Amino acid sequence: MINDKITSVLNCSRWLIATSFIMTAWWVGLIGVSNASESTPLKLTNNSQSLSSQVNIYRTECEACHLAYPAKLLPANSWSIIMMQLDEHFGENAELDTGVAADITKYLMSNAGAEGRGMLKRITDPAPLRITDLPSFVRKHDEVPDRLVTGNPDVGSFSNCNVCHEGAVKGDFDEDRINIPGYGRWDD
Amino acid sequence: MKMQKVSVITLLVAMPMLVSISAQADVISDRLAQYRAEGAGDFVANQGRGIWFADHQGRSCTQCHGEILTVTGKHIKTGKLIEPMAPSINSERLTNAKTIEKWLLRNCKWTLGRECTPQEKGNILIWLKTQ
Repeated sequence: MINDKITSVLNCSRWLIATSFIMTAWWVGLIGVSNASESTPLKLTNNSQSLSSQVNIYRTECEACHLAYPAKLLPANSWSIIMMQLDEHFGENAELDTGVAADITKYLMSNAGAEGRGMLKRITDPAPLRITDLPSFVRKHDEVPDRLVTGNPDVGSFSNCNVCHEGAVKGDFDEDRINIPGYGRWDD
Repeated sequence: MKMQKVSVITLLVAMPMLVSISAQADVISDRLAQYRAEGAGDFVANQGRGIWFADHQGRSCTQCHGEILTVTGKHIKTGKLIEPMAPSINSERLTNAKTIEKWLLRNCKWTLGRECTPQEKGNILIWLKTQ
C-alpha cells in the first residue's frame, strides 16, 4: 500500500515537473515571438534596409492584394510614379506608411527593368504604368482569346499572371509552364 | 492520472488561443482608448455591423470580405483570396495596431469615399471582435 502511494506521489511529481518544463519552454518561446513581432515595425522605418528585407516588405505589402509583380517588368520611372500615387492605385487605395513605402521604392528602383531589354523592348515614351500595356506583353498574349482570360471566371484578368503562369511568383514566365484553368497547357 | 494527462494536454492546446485572445484584447482596448482620446463616445457594435453591411454608393465591405465573416473573402478586382475576418476563425485578426489602422484607412477611403471617424472605427472594431 505504502509503495503504491509512493509510486503515485512520484508519478504525480513527474507530471508536475514535466508540465512546468513545458510551460517554461512555452513562455520562453512566446517572449521570443513577441519580441520578434515588436521589433519588426522598428526595422521597417530603418533606412539601412538590406535588400532581402526590402524584398520581403515588397512581397508582404503588395501580395496582400495581388501578385508582387517582378520589378524587372517595369522601368524605374514607372515604378516611381506608381509609388507616388498609392492612394489612387489603379482605382484602389493602397496607401502605405511613409517608411514602408520608401523601402519598397528603394527595392523597386534597384531592381527595375532596363528600357529596351527583355520585356521592355520597344517601350513607349512615357513608359506604361501597367505591365499589361507593354508592347512585348501585348505581342506575347495576342493569340490568347479573351474567353480564356477576361471571360474565364478562374482567371478574370491578364493582371493575374500567377493563375496561368505557375512560376510567376518566382519571376518564371516560361511558356512550358503555362496552365490555363479550364483549358490546360498552352501550346503556342 | 488520466485526468491529469487530459488537463495538461488541454492546457497546452488552450495556451496559444488564450495568448492570442489576450493580445487581441490589449490591442483593441488600446485602439478604443485612442479613439476616445480623439473624441469618440461609447461604442456600439450594432452600428459597426451597420457600416459593414451598408451600401455606400455602390461600394460595401462585403464586396471583398463577404457577408459571412467566418469564411474566406475575395478581392472584388484582383480576385485575391482574403482570409476570414472573424477572430474566432482567424486568430491573427485584430492583433496588430499598425495593421488595423492601415486597413481601416485604406478601406474606409475606398468604401465610404472618406476616412472613418474615430467613433466609426471603434464601432467596427468592437463588432468585428465578436465575430
